[in-house]
Amino acid sequence: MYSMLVLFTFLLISLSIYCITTKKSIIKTVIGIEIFTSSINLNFVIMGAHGESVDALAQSFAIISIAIGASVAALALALIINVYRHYGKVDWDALRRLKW
Amino acid sequence: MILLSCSALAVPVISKLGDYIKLPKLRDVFSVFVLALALILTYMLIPSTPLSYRVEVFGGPYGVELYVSTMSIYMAVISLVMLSLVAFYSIKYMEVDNRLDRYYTLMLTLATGVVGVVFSGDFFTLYVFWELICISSYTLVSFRKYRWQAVEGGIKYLLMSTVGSLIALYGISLLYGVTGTLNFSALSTIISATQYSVPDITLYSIVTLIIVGFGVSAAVAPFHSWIPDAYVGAPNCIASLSTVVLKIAAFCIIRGLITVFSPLNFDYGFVLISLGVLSLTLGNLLAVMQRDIRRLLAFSSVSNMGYIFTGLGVGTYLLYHYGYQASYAFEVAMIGVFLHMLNHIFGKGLLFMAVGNLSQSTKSYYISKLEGLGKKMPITGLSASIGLLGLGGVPPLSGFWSKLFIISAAASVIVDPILALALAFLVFNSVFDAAYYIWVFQRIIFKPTVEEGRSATEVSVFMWMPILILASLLVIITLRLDFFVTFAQVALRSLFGG
Repeated sequence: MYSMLVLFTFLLISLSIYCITTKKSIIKTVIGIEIFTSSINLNFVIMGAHGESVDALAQSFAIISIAIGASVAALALALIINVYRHYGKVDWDALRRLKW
Repeated sequence: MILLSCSALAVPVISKLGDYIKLPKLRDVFSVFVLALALILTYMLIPSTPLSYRVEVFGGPYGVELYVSTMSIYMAVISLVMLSLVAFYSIKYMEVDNRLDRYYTLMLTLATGVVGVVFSGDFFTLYVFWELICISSYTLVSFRKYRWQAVEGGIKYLLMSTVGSLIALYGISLLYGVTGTLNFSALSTIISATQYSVPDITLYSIVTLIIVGFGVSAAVAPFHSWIPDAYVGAPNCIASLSTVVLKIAAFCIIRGLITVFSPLNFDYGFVLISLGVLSLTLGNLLAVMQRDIRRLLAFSSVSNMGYIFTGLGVGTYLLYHYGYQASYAFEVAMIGVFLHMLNHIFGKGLLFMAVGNLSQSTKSYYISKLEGLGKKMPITGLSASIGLLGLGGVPPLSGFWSKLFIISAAASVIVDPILALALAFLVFNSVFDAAYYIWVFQRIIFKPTVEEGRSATEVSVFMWMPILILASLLVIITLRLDFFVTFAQVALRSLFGG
């Protein structure tokens, strides 16, 4: 059961990395990052559970990590709004102006 | 605790700023003062190290811990020197912007993050403060959000660096799963005790995840693509702050790997060497192709991180393959790494500020537009040439000595093919480095002044003072090399002490 759960989070992380690397829309990339964050939080909680007893440390880590993930996502979305204002779309293809 | 008050000093500024808005310069002076005070307090901690402060969470044995070793002090002092000089510089440089209250608040949260990372005693505290650094530096990089360069650089930096930190966090969570704790001193004993009961592949994948995760933020070669864009987008003083962020990422790797996964038992030196050699070569080759001086400096940052990683790799490789016989060479390599961190923070910070000064009159960052401006601005020109020659590794200056330490460590076992290869790359790249730094130096100082720069004059005292201080620090490092080498040696030993 334990190893199945760890495998499950690993699959989720692979999924999110696939999402981050292949999607063209920046918003979809941010969604991928969010999946990544949540699966790591899940991983922490799973690792903290030893049968009957639960390590409270792992849970507090997960809670702090959720807060950090939320602030990063908020910042990313705020930047995406600015990208939209400058470029008119939210695509990675648009962000190729910086050269040399 | 002194150290807690030291970190917390930065926080009340957020509330203070609101009150001081009516006196526009007061907040600037206040933030410089806070940073300088934090610097002095950190320096005063030296006699009382090692020092630890444990926050008991739920009565657990290994809760959140702050731990101050000489290594922490070393990193904190050089970062805070840089931060306070940047704050001093931005009093004048950032005058044209509004929303400066947010700027100084973010700079102080960044300072809090830096002090927190270097003082952290467990992986999770390290990660939390590291994210604090990252979030403030993403915001600072895209601070001038009305410019499209800032937004583009900022979002690239944000996404790459966030994915990097998450990869590192995944490694940390696996480490927690294997050992049940995240405290550095507890981890090092548990890891060496359980090394034979846990499959090697698990531990090595944790090592890889941590190297890759922090490596993205440290801009080593395959993951460097964000750095030139971010540096072009950021205001120059923030670009010079980013060098501190790069070094803190390298510090996370050093702290995480060398303390927890003892190089005597784990063979990750080769990975670090190959990453380092790749970023050395790629950084240098791409740097000479750039026309914008900020991109040139960004790629040279990549190659300088290459020196740091190669030095680290050489040290750990030697210790794993040759055991205690090589401990002297290991020490030489690590001292070289620490000195190079110091040189690169001061040198690159100096250069970014100097470029900001030089471009005040021409408003352009192309190297062809900066030619000969050094003659018009004697103080900036002098400091910039010390910085350029110092980073280029021209013999009497400090950059030469740190490279020499790393190279001589790589040369200690000449028969080993990997070390010989690393040595060849190091020597080739340091010559290459010196060549293009001297090329840039002669273009800025000796070429006839460009048309636009005829009327250029020296900038105000707020803008040349920090540069002059940094240049004289680089000279002082050269003159008092023995002091800094001893400091780096004590810092290295403290890394093993706990």
